[in-house]
Amino acid sequence: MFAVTLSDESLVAGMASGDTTALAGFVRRFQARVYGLALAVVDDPGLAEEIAQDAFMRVWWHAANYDSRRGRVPTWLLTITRNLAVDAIRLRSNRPIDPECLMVGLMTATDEPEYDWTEELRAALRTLPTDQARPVVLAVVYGLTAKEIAEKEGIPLGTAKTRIRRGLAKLRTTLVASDE
Amino acid sequence: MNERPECAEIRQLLPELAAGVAAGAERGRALAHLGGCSDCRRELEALATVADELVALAKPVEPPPGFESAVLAKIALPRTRPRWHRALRPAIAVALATAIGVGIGAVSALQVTRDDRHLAAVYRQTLETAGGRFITARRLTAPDASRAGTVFAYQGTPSWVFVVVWSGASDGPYQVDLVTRDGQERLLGTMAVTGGEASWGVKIDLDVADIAEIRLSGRAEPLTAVFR
Repeated sequence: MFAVTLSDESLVAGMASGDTTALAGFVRRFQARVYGLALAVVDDPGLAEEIAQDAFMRVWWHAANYDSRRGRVPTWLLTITRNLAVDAIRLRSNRPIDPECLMVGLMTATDEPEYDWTEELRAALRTLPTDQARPVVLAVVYGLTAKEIAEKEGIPLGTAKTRIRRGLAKLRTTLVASDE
Repeated sequence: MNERPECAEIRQLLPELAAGVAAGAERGRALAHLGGCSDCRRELEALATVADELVALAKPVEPPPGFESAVLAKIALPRTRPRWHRALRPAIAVALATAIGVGIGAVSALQVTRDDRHLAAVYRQTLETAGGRFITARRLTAPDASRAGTVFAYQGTPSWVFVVVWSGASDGPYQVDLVTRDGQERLLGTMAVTGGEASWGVKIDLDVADIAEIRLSGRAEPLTAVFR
């Protein structure tokens, strides 16, 4: 009950003071999102579990450095998770990159969207042309550079950059509109 | 809005910067511009928010039973690198361990053990396989003199520098500069510290023996690794 009623920021503050109860509550609150993201990127349950555990460990170690002015707690946690997952798949010679599968996962509505704009962003992703959505997902979620995307997609580097730029710009327009 | 002439060029780079995948040189150029342009900084923040929210769309999946207990058990253990990080640079790890072994061996050459010789052989084999001449490592020191990480430098074709940060650095971008023995400074690129940790590498076009210092400059005082 303790963890359910406390804000994300309070749990992080608790962890910063070494409170393992706060860590337990934090893990329970976010474990599905962290594990889900890791699994979506690496497509390997064992590796995803290790990444998810490490993401929580990093939050535990660095809780005192969390600055709410620089982003919400879930954003911080998921960015750490994404970076760990990208590091992990970069070590594999056979990187299991399947943007189609991941895009379906990103576009599928959940029962309880966290914020008002979540479903609008999801809808905007669905309306993006595939040749823009794929480079955006490859860059943002899989951490591929424009050069790597160009090679993977068989397109010129300039085209890859343009598609990332246009795709993100359209998604941004959606978020700005939903904010007004 | 006081958009400067270079803003148009930098805006083209911001989406990749927001996604965290900008190439080193472009990233360095963009960060240098962002330091003095609040309009472009706001644009980057907006795009970064989109990228963050996109990542957050991943479908939640409950981890296997025992996940929470496993995390709680881990905090009782000494801090270690994750397994895939440990696997990240096996050749470097072996070579580094061997290099240390070789160094110790030089001091007490008459007491070289079989294990030391084996390590030396592994080191030589590693370098032969890579076609390199040597690999070395220096302590990366935080402003408070504590250890913040390690800087590896490899002399080969190509030669490179690899920086690992595990503590003592705040989150955010860091400019990585190399200072040569004759006092020249060269920008190697930029790296991002997330969750207090980072790893980053780049090819260099000078001899490792010419390196005097590697310096990481962020918002706070720089972290340094002294080679001279």
